[in-house]
Amino acid sequence: MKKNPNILAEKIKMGDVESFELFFKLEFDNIVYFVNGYLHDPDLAKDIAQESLLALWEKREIIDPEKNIRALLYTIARNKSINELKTRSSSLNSISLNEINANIYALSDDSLNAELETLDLKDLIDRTIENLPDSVRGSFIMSRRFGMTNKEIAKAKNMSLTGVEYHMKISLNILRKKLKEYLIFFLGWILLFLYYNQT
Amino acid sequence: MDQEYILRIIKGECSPDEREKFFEQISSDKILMQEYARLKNKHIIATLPYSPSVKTLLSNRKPKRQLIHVLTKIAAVLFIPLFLWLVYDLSYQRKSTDSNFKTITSYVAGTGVRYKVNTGIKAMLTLPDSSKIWLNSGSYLDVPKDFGKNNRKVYLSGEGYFDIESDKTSPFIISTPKSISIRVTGTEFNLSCYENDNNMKLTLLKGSLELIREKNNEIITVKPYEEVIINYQTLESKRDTTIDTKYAIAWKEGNLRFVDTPMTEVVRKMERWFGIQVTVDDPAIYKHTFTADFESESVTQVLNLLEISTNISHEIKGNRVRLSMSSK
Repeated sequence: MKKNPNILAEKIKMGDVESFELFFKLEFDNIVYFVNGYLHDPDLAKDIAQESLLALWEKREIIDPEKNIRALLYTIARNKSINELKTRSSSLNSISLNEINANIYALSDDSLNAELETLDLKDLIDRTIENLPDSVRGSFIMSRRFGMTNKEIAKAKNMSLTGVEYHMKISLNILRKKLKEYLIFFLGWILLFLYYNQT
Repeated sequence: MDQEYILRIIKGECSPDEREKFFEQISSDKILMQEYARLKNKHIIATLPYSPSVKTLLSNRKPKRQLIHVLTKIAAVLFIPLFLWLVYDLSYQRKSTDSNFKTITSYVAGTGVRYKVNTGIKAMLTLPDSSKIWLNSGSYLDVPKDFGKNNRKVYLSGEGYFDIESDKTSPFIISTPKSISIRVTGTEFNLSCYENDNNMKLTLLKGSLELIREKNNEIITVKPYEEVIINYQTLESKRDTTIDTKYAIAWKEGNLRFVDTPMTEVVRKMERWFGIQVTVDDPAIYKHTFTADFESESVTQVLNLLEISTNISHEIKGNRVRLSMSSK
C-alpha cells in the first residue's frame, strides 16, 4: 500500500461526522453484501453491517490512517459474522449446517486476510463514482481531488496545510449537500413518473 | 471436482440438491474445503457492488453529533488530571520495558548456560555449531557446558524456531518440559512447548524429524509441512498435513496472528506477547474465538479490536488487563 496518510481515514479518526457519514454511505451496501455472502440472511447482514460501522465509529481512535481502514472494518464484520454463524446456526434456515460450517471455515481462512488487504479506500471512491449517474459524478471527482493527500494538494496549490484542510471540509460539505439535492430531485422525478402513469 | 464447479456453487448456479450434496462432501474433505474457502473469499471481495442504493445515500446518520460535542467539552475538563496521571504512568512503564529488552540473559546455571527471554520480547541466538534459534516471549533455552561437535543437546521451555545446521554424525536433541524430546539432523521447524499450555505443537518446514516420548521410547516421524500436536493430559497426538506453515511462524516475523483461535489461547498468547497479565471475569468469554492479523499494533489496539468485534470489553491497569463481557 502507498504511504498516503489517507485524509478520509484521518478525518474519521479525528471525529469528523461528515467524513464518517460519507464513508458509511460508500461502504454500507458493500458490507451488507460481504456479510450476506456468508450468512445468506439479508436482514441479519444489514444489522451486522450497521453494528460494524458504528463500532468502528465509536472506537475510531484505533484507526491508523497509514493502514487499511477498509480491511479494519471488514475484519470487524468478519468476526461478528463468525460469531453470528456459530450462535445462530439453528435459526438460519436458508442454509444447511454443512454450509454454515464451510462458511465459518472460509471466514476464518487465511486467504481472506490477503483479499481484505486488497481493499483500498481510493478504489472505493473511484469505483463508486464510476457507478454513479453523470449528474453527481462531477462533484464527487472534485472532492476526490481534495481527497488525495493534504501535503500533495498544499504543494500543488502553493497553499498552507490548514488551508487545504479547510477546503477539504468545505468540499465534503458540498458533496453531502449535492448528493441530497440530487436524490431529492431524483425521487421527485420518480413520483412525477408514477403520477403520470396512474392517470 | 474442478474450480468451475465450485464457482458455480458459490455463484448459486445450481439446484438446492446439488448445493446440499456439495457442502456435505466438502465437510469431510479438507483440501476441497480450503479450495472452497479460497474461491469463496476471492469471489465475494471481487464482486462487491460499489454502488450504494438510493436508500443508503438518503439515510441521514449523524452519530450523536451534539451529544459528542458537549461530552468532549466535559470530558476535556474532567480528564486533564487523568491525562497527566496517564502520561506519568506511561513514562514509568516505558522505563520498565526498556530494561526488559536487555534481559535475554545468559547466565551460567551449574551445568551450562540458560538463555531466558522475558514476556513481551523475542530474541535470536546462534549456537556454537552455527544452528540458529529464535526464542518467543516467555521462553528459555538451556545449553549445556559441553555443547559442541559431539554433544548437541538442549532443553527448551516455551516456543522456538529452530534452523539446525546439518550434521549427520551428531543428532541435535531438544528435550521439553513434558518428557517429549525431538531428534533431528538438519532441519527447520517451529516448536511450542510452554509448560502452562495444554499441548505441545510442532511444525516442520524442512527435512525430517523424530519425536520421542521418553516414557516408552515411542517414536513419531514427522515429514515436511506436517504439524503434530500432542495433548499433555491424554498424550494423544494429532497430525495435520494441510497446515499453513505461515501461521506457525508468524511470530518470528513479528506478527501476532489469530485464526479462529479459542479465547483461552488468545489470552495466553497475548500475555506472553505483550508481557501482560490477563484476568478473565466471565467464563462466557472462553466460548468466543478471534480472527485477526497484527503487525505492530499495541496491546490497546488489539484489545480494542477484540472489543468491537466480540463485545469482550477490557480494563487496563499497568500491565494487568481485565476482560469482561460488555453488557450490550
